[in-house]
Amino acid sequence: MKLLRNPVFWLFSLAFVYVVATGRLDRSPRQQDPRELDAVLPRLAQLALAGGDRYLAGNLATIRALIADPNRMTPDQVGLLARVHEDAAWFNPANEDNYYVAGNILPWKGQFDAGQRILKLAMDARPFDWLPVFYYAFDIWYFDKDGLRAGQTLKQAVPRAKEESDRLLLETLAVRWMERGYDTVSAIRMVQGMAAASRQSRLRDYYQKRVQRLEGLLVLEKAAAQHRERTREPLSDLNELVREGLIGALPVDPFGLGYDVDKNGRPVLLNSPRKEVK
Amino acid sequence: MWQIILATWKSGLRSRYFYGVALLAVLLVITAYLASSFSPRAPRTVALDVGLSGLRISLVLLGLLWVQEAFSREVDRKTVQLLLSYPLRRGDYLMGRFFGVVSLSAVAAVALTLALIIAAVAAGLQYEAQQYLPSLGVALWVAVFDVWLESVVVVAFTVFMSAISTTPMLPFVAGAGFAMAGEGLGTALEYVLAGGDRSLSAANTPILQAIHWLLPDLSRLDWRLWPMYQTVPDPQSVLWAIVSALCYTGVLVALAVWAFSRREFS
Repeated sequence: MKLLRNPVFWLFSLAFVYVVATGRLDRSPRQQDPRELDAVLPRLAQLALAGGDRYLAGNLATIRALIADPNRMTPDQVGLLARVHEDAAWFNPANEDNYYVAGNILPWKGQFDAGQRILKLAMDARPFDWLPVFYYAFDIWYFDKDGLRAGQTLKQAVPRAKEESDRLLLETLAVRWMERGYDTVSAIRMVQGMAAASRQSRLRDYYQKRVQRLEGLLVLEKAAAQHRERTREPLSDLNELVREGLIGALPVDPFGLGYDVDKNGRPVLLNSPRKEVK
Repeated sequence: MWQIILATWKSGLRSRYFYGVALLAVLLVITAYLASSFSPRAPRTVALDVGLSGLRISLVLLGLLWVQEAFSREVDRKTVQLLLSYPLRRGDYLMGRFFGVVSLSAVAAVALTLALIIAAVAAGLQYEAQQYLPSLGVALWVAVFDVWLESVVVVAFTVFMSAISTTPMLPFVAGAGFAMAGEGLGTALEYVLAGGDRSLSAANTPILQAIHWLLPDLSRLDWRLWPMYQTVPDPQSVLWAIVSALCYTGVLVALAVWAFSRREFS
């Protein structure tokens, strides 16, 4: 009984149990929340939570979008992510991080329209910045495959660039898009450039996967052209290319979505956000 | 009146809220710096942005606490009756308290802004290559002046509430609510009028529009886009926003003086 009243006894026994429990805890797996993002508050509620301060609300939404990992998201969750980005853009359209990340991720994840809306707001709110115009035009070129409109849009970026070399580059690119339209080789080069320019390592990895995916498409396009020359018939199934020995195996898509052939016998990326591609 | 201002200064500096300013400054620097570390492309701008939001919250909070300390509590504890037995007009006493608090918060604004500049510069050290840099010069000080002016309007409202209320906490709570509503009103109106929220349908718009005559749109005093992105605001809207805020403050202080002069202390 005397022992039970001794604080030193309690100190040591509780410390001992604590050490044992912590050791056990370290060995047991940590439960992970599988949901990356599952609710977005209405805009007015976000505003109220920020004490009525729209810039604070915008910053909070941007940070929320930045820490979510789009690679782990279901399409529904990407839809919510797009809403968070759009809310942030509505609170402060000039926020550089928000338009940059939204413009770089949403269109590739099937949220083309949301991405373009955010970029358009940033274009208007940041008249000194050519980058949102560039991304906006690039998306038209890459996803809509509309070289003429993309080139015309990109021309708006030219007077915004401060460096002479940037102006020249943008001008040349705009003209090339208008004349030649979309082609996979240029797309690979551009996405490589975008990967090199991004500071976030997650975004860079993401672009590098996109490059791999496009390189797979390029291999298929070349083989399909050979097939057409040889048989004078458009391709109907990608596996024909393997059977004819034009390629060893179908290229592996790092996103696991794969490739297909469209009505005209051209290889395409599967699950691309625009509906007209198969 | 000068003596009252001076007395407010003394009690303001003596009270523990003075240490509050120092603590807030440290918190502001840390918060702004941490927020900037989320930013991949514009850490300095984000530090400044979050810092200005923090500055606004700090100034409003300090203003509310100082009014509480220098005025509401004095009324509550009835020490004000001792003061009013001197040959001093009640209006002068109230205005002295008001200008005392407002000038104290001006000093706090300068101190906190200096802390904020440190945070913004420190945030830039992580990422030297930021392309569009915020301005930490005149534009920032203009933005800070407007944040301070916002807190002046809130202080005036709280003083008015203190002059008419009989419980000491009411002015504080009402002042905080006023600050939030005034800041959010403009943005909320913009959202609702654009048809953003169907639950607040068009039927409510006349009410909302009527409110904006009673409650000043404090977000019009927010010119942080100038230091952040060098987008110079339209001078006319700056002028009208300042005139509107000053007149609103004047009306509130006049109402407070009127109510306080008629108040019966028992």
